[in-house]
This record gives sequence, structure tokens and C-alpha cells, in this order.
Amino acid sequence: MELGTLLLIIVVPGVILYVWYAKLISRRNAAREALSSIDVQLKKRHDLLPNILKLAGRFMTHEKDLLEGLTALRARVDAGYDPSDPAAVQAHLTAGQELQSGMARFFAVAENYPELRSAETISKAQDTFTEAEAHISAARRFYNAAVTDLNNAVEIFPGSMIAGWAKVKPMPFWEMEDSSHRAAVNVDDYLK
Amino acid sequence: MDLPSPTHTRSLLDRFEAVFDEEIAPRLQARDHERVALARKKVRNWILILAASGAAALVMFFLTRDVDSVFMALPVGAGAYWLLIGRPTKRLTDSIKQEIFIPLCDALGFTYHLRPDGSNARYFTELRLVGGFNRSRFEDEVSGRYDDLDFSLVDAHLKDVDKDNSRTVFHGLLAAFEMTKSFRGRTLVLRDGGMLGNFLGGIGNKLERVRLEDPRFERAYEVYSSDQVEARYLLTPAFMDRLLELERQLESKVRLAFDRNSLLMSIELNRDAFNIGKLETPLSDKRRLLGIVKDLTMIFDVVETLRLNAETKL
Repeated sequence: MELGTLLLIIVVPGVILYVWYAKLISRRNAAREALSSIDVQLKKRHDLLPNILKLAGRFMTHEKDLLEGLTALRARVDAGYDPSDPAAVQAHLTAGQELQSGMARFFAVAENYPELRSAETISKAQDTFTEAEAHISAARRFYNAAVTDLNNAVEIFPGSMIAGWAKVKPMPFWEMEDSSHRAAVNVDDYLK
Repeated sequence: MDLPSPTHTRSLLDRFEAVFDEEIAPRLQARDHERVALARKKVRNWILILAASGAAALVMFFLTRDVDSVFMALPVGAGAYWLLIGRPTKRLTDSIKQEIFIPLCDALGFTYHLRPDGSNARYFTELRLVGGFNRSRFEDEVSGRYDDLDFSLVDAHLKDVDKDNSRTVFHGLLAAFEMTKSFRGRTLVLRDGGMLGNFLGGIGNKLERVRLEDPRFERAYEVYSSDQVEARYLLTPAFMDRLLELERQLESKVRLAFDRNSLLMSIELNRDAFNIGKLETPLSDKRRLLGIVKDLTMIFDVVETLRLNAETKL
């Protein structure tokens, strides 16, 4: 076999493998970047919480559990996690989602406290919260798009082989609705 | 008047008809003699133009003894046409347009300029909403506030001319709307140029390509942004749907840019906007309103279809 042919047999697959590898790594980095953009937006939302909870604590004396639950959820979301570990990422995103549901519940319950509702801080906080939610939703779409690209590259052959060798794992999607939102509504509950 | 249209167009037309009947029509009727005189002069002027062109052709032929040189008389004919017919017609049309537009815009609280300077058209080029140009004509700028949103809209005809040819780069409306959403980056929603077009369009572009979830939207547009999250914050799934719907309603190609807290938009009409029709019918002919209403309602279509003023900010 000529040297040229031999080089071709070694170099061409080598180049293809390298390009594939580089693509996988860049997609993983893009997904991590998207994940960090979610954290930036979550942080904005979390910064709102202490003041809201402090003010709410004065009026919502019967909602101690809800307020404590929110504080605990915030701590869970703020806790550090390993972005290279899909299970840790999933737990982090789930905590973020639970906090969002908790905040929505809080604002719904706050409707029952006119003194609280009339406080300008709460009304401003609710506006900012809605704005923050819109940004989180955008960050979630960015993250899910990046994860789709990564997971396709990781799971489709021969990407799956290279991913196994390079230890690149698929990342979890951030599903928005929680199970309570998906459950069918029983109309009878509202007609009693 | 028969104009099948959304409710706001109908009500706008009703309001315009009232202003037209009370204020504009009497003034136009009083000036109808100008139109009649112009039409009368037209026949005489055509004879003059032909005579001037013929004389120029004869002079050229006797000077050069070459049959082809008679075509050099064409510029003389064109010049005579512009002087005797084109310019007087344009003057009267412009004057009538102002008679119609100013009271109509006043009724809506808008401002009208017949000859705006179009100074921000270069900004539209910078944002790639229109191509590069070196000749421009701007007419009929309408600006004001609609549903608590500031807007301005101008009819633009932009050309790229060199010594060999002249190419129309854009002919349509350039619009700017204030945005209720606040943002810091720049997001462009351009036409999809196919694989090659998109690749070439991306060269030298400092903005990142944004791929969105809606396949219909992706087929129609190519989105670039300085911030991936902000682009999705602005282009929500609902907004993407509405933009496709708006394009269907307007039957025109639309390009958008979100920049400096404004939404800038180019709407490609390939015709003059705010047309008041020809001067062959009486000036007070109510059908002159149709072209104006049709184009003016684009502002309302954009604000209402895209829900730029929506409190929900979605």
C-alpha cells in the first residue's frame, strides 16, 4: 500500500472523528451556557423573594407553612449543583419549577389579604415577578433548544460512540408544567 | 363605500368620511377648476412635447447626418414632458394630498409631513431591514400615538444607482414603534434566504443566529440577536404566530428589528403608499380615501395584531 493511501486511510477518519468530537463538545458547552442563562434569570427572581416574604410575614400570619416552604425552596434552588451531572441539573430545574409554582400560589393566596394587596411593594413585586417569569420562560426555550441539539448529537450514531468515549452525556429538558397543571379539572369541584 | 375590512378599518373609514364631507370636500370642490385646467393644458402640452422632440431630432440629424442620432432627442422629449406635464401634475397631487391628509391626521391626533427628510433610513440599512442605497425619496410621514404607543411611518423609495444601472432596493413603508417591553440588545427578524442566502448573510454578522421552535416561522424568517434569551423573550410563540398572521393580512414582506427599546419594521409594498388616485375624476371624489385608509390601517394592524401594547407583555 502506498504511503499516500495509508495516510488517507488514517488522516481522513481522524479528521472526521475530531470534527464530530469538537461539535459534541461545543454543543455541550452551548447547553451549559444556556443553563447558566437560566440561573441568571432565576437569580433575578430570587432577589425579589426576601423583601416579599418579609412584608408578607407581617400580614399572612396564617400562611406560615407557605412562606416557610418558599424560603426552603429558594434555598434549594440557590444551592450549588454540578452542571455536568444530568441528575443534579434535573433536580435543580425541578426545584426552580416548584419555586415558580409556589410563587404563583403565594400571589393567589395574597389576594385574600387586602392589606397586603394594597401594599405598593407587593404590587410592584408582582409586576417584576411576571417580567422575571417571561425572561425565565425565554431562557427555558433557549436551554431546551440547546439540549435538543446536544441530545441529538449524543444519541444518534456515530455520535453516540464518540459521546461515550468523550464522556458527553445527554442533558435533561426543562419541562414547564407540573403534574398538577396537567391533571384534568373536575368541574364538580367548582359547582358545589 | 365598499371596503371589506376589520372593524377598526370600518370605523376609521366612517370617521374619515365625516371629516372628508365636512372639511375636505368643500375645499377640494373649490379647487377642482385647477384639475380641469391642468387636464385641458395636457393636450396642448403633449403637442408641444412632440414638436420639441421632433425639432430636436431634426437638428441632430442635420448636424450629424446619422439616423441613429435622432434618438438623442429623447432626453429633450423627457425633459419637456417633466416640465410641462410631470411637474405640474405632481405639484397639484402634492397640494391635494396635503388638503386631504392634514385634516384626517388632525382628526386622529397624528402629525403629517409631505416631504420628510427620512434621516433615519440609514439606521434601517444598518439593521439590514433595507439594502444599501444612494438615492432616496421619502413622502408622507405620519407619526403620533396609537393605543398609548408612539409610532412613525414613512413611505420610502430607495435605489442603488451606479453609472450602468439603477436598482430599486426598497419601495414601501418604514415604521418605528415604541415598545412596552424593555430590552438592551439587538434582535433582527429578516427574511429567510435559503441555505446559501442565510450562510452568506451570516458572514461578517456580529449577531448570533437564533433558531426558534416554530417551523412555519423558521421557513419564513431568519433571526439574529445579540442575546439568545432576550430574542426569545421578545419573540414568544404567540408573537411569532401573530407576525405570520400580520404578513398574511398585509400581503407584503415584513422585516423587523428590536433595537434601542423600539420595534422597527420595513413593509415591502413595491408601490407608493397613501395613493390618492389619478386626477381624472373630481378632486372631491370620496374614493380617494380608500388608498389612504388602506395604508394607514397598517399602523393599527401592526399594533393590534402584534399586541405591542399588551399589558400581559406576551
